[in-house]
Amino acid sequence: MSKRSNEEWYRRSFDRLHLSDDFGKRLEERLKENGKESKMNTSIHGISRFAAAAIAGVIAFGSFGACYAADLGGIRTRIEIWMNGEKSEVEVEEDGMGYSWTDADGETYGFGGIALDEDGNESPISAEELAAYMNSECTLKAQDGRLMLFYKNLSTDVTDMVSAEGTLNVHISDPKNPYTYFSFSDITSDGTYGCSSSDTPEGGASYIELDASGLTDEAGPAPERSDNEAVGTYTTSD
Amino acid sequence: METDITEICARYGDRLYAAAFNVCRQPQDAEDAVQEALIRFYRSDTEFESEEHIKAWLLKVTVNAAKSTRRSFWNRNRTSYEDYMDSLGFEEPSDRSLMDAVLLLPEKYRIIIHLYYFEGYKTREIAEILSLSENTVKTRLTKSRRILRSNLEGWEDE
Repeated sequence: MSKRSNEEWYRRSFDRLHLSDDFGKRLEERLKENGKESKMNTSIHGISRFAAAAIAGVIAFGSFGACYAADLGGIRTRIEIWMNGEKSEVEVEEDGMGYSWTDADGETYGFGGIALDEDGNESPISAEELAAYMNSECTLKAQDGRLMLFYKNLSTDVTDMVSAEGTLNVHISDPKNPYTYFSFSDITSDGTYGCSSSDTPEGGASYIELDASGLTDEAGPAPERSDNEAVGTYTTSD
Repeated sequence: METDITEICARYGDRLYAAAFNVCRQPQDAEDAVQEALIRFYRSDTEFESEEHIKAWLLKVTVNAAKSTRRSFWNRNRTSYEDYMDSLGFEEPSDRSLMDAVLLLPEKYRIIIHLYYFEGYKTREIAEILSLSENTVKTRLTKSRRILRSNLEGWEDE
């Protein structure tokens, strides 16, 4: 059987998938609700709210690429961020939807969002705001069949700490960051997860206290903010 | 390039949904991802150069939105997944077997398989859409074919 046959079989199978009948109606309703001019303020994915820092929203998209960055007139900026326990300078590229960059393993990450000023005016977050956000967050990464948690220069194996429901609550005492109660959800074997952070523990939730004695002083203070919530994706290298 | 969102939805909606379902494995999340992509398209100031540019842009945004909306549906609501699959009315039992087998692949493999076999993209084009190196795409394509060969009767060597 040739490639064509596999292809025809695949297409015949996935051709059975169709949007539901009322999808168009719901799309129109949502467009009416928000209007064309209200840029990105209706995103259903991972909205963060940075109050005092005037950053209203950070939306994280897992592994989105920048293939059309050139077409969109993408701007490249170098920022310092903590990635997998190491502080490194990465070149992020603004591609019209946010920023993307590639780590040393060749994996691409993407984050984007909007900022609100005091008058409620929206603007895309800057690369510097992105860096401040990234440097105050916990991340998870699958490595050699284990799940590692990273926070600034700290890392620890949390494989056995994840609940059967794919959740993980951790607290890290970092005097430079008041929002250190991290709640991960929907952690999957291929490294996808959702994460929210807060300055107080969620009611009824128990948190694993992580040893922060080795925390470096290199990272600056985290931006002031209220609750935040983001969704991230990590895919392991081949 | 002037475009009408209703027309775009009619033209690309189902293929975006197929890509989103490949990632989410859950119909409602997949529709949410498609809706998000179409709204982003509607609001976008991007000057699209061609239909192919629109299609690739929409697929990229849909796949990323799908990754963001994905929940642990597979493990928690298997019965609902079965009900949904039953409702699809596959022509042949083997068609469902193929979809089941593909959806069991790791996400990073199955989206590449989908873009290759369903959308007909070349590995170089998939690499651009997913922002991966072409070698990574080729490696993952090879690995996913190998898995399908061992798990799916009728999937042939290429």
